[in-house]
Amino acid sequence: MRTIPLGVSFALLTLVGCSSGSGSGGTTTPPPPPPVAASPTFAPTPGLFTTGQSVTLADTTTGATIHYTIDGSTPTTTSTTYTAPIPFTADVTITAIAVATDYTTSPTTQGLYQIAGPTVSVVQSTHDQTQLMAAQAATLFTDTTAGTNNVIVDEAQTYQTIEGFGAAFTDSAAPLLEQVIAADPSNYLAHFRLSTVYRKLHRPDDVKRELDAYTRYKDMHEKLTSIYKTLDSPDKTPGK
Amino acid sequence: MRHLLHPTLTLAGLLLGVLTCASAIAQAHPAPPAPTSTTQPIDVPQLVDITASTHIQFEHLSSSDQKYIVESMSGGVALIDYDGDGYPDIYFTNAPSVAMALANKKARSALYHNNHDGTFTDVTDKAGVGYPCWAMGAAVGDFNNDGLPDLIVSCFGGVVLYRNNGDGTFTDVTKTSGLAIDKGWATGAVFGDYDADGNTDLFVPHYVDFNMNDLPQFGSQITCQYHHVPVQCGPRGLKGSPDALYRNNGDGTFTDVSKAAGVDDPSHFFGLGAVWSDFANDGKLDLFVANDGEPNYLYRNDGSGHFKDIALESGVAVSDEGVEQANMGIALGDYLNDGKMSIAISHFSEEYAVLYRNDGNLSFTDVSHQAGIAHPSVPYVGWGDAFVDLNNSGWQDLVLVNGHVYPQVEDAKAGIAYREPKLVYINQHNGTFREMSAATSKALLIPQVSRGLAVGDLFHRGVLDLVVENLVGGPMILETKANPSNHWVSFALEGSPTNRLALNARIRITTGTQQQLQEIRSGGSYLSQSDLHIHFGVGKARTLDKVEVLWPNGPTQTFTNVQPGHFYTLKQNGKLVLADPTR
Repeated sequence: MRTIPLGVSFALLTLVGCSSGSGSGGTTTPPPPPPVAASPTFAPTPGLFTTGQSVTLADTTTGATIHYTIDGSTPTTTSTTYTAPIPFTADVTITAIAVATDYTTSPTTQGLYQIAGPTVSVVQSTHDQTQLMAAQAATLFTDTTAGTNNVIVDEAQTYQTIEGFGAAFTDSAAPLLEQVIAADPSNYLAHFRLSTVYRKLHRPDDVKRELDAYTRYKDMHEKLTSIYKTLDSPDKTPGK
Repeated sequence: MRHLLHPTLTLAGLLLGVLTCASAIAQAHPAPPAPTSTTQPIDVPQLVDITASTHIQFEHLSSSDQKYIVESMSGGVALIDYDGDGYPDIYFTNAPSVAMALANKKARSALYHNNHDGTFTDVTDKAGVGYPCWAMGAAVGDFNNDGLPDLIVSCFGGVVLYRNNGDGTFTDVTKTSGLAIDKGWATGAVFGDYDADGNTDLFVPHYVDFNMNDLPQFGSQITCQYHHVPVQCGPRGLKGSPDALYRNNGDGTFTDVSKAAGVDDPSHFFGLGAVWSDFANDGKLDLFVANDGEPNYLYRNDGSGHFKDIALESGVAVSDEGVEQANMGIALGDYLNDGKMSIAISHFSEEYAVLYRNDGNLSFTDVSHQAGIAHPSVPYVGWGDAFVDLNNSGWQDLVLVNGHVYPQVEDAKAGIAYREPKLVYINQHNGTFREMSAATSKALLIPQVSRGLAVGDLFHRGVLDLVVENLVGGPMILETKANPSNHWVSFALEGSPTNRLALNARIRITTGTQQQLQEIRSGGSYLSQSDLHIHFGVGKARTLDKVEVLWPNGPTQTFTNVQPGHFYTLKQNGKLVLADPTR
């Protein structure tokens, strides 16, 4: 199961503020505590990526050794020692500390690196019709339970391949009906059904055109029917 | 009854299309799941025929062979609390045969007073409403803003306006009100304040331009046959009659504004039913008109005294196959509990009762088949219809009463009968209904020639009963027995200072995650009038978390933590008052 927030999602980056410590001089003052090692830095900056990356860790404290975890747990001096960029192809949370002689262990640095789902094109229509299929900024689907307005995707459940959802059947109906009408422009029922499809697609001008055609051809059919009935009727009296 | 010879984005939401080819479609109504298995138990309300014990002796007159269409269309029934005691009284319309009329004999309509004890008393003569005209149907409105329900009777030959005097009597004010100019075959007349001036206006659809001096001869033409059997002529083959809108001048008189308002029906369609409702949710009353065998009208009110017909582009003019049906009775209801009023319409046999689902934004979809409405209705000629929560479940069921037009229909050997059963469709809470007439009541299976249907809690029992007027013989009064563990609530609204009957006021209630919406309306069904109380079933809910009263001419009032199981009254801008009846 994947929980995908709708809307733009940014990677979480928690940076704990650094403190350098300070002291005041004095003849009886004990020796100052060792300085705090600088926190490791991550490159690239944590965030959302469309492809896998390698994360380079660095530290400005001379001689510092970096220890890290990739499961979100707090690293210690026994955690994995950083020796080379850390590759990832799936979502990963890297948490690191720096340790150096004569220094206090650095504050923890944590970075969330996410691999996005496919890029989706987004169009937007509003009921006041100020926007009709208006292109929007592309959206990446992310894999996080954070946030609201989530779409739950059960990755274990698959169906036939389909281009999009929601409007796909309606989209498909329109060209089929257009083909029917191309073959027989007087098919008033096809005009009517196409008007219904266009109405669902929020295409008012096309709705009007198809309803006009429906009315025109239906009227024609009824007049022809009436004529035929008159010809068939013994008393030759036409119905309304 | 025409037969066939054959955020600001709140409503819309933000619509996302995915992968560049996809389009945006409002998925306000996902396709309903398959109907529940028939083996699954469903809580079924029971309807009991209590007609005999009500002491109602009314019988609608009819000719045995119904040789003229004007003899087939009467039978509207109105629930009207004329004496203001909180209990609905009943007005039955009546009509003569052509032979009677030619002999200057009249048919007596009847007003029955509700005695609160399960019985009614005929008070017609005292009330003075026995002989209005060749009556078709009736509706309620308060044309003079005195808070008393007045009665409009539609007639073959205009309308009759009865002013309620408040003392148990009515006065025929048709002439002084200016409504005597209406001469047509009036059908589903309805009151509504379309111009929001505080004075309720009157719309009168008209049916056939029927000439008593040139009677169409029974069976004489191809349009006077049904399955090759000679029958009455019409409406096909006869001329239609234009509709009329009468603006209330506020001084007891009305002015014909049909043409200026754009609702004069220049096509002369066969108008039968009408309802006022704010379909656009823009604060202005729109108008839906059911036309027999012709496209319906959905008139959108532009707020400047003019209407535009948008029925075709809204999807309510014709069936989903682009076919005009014999549109007769109209029911409005939020059967999905999604805050939108959908439209159900009864039709002729070999057609189907239609359910136009309201998709919002003035767009409707004919879902009759997938909702389970269409198929059971095909054999019958439907008339009165109503959305009604029979079981206090919190979901609107649908009732449809039937009866054919042609007594000769059984000669056609087409498996169609003149007298027909009634249909009850139980809401399955998923966008579909199940026809459960037999499980609901044996009385529904009794074949009758039904016409009018009105709904109301006749004896303040916390359930909605049914009153059916039949064209042939006496009416049928059906007492509803809902699941006693389900709760309910009832509201009586009074507008102030105008619209005293609170027409087109709506109430939206919230119980847990569920919302329901209902509206007070004049007329509707088939030429009938239901009670003006708003009744909600709320299922197992023990509290109404929120009650919102949406006044058509004022700010919304909201009440919280309202207890079910009671009757409440509310005067506009006042407090919600407990008003359980004393027995």
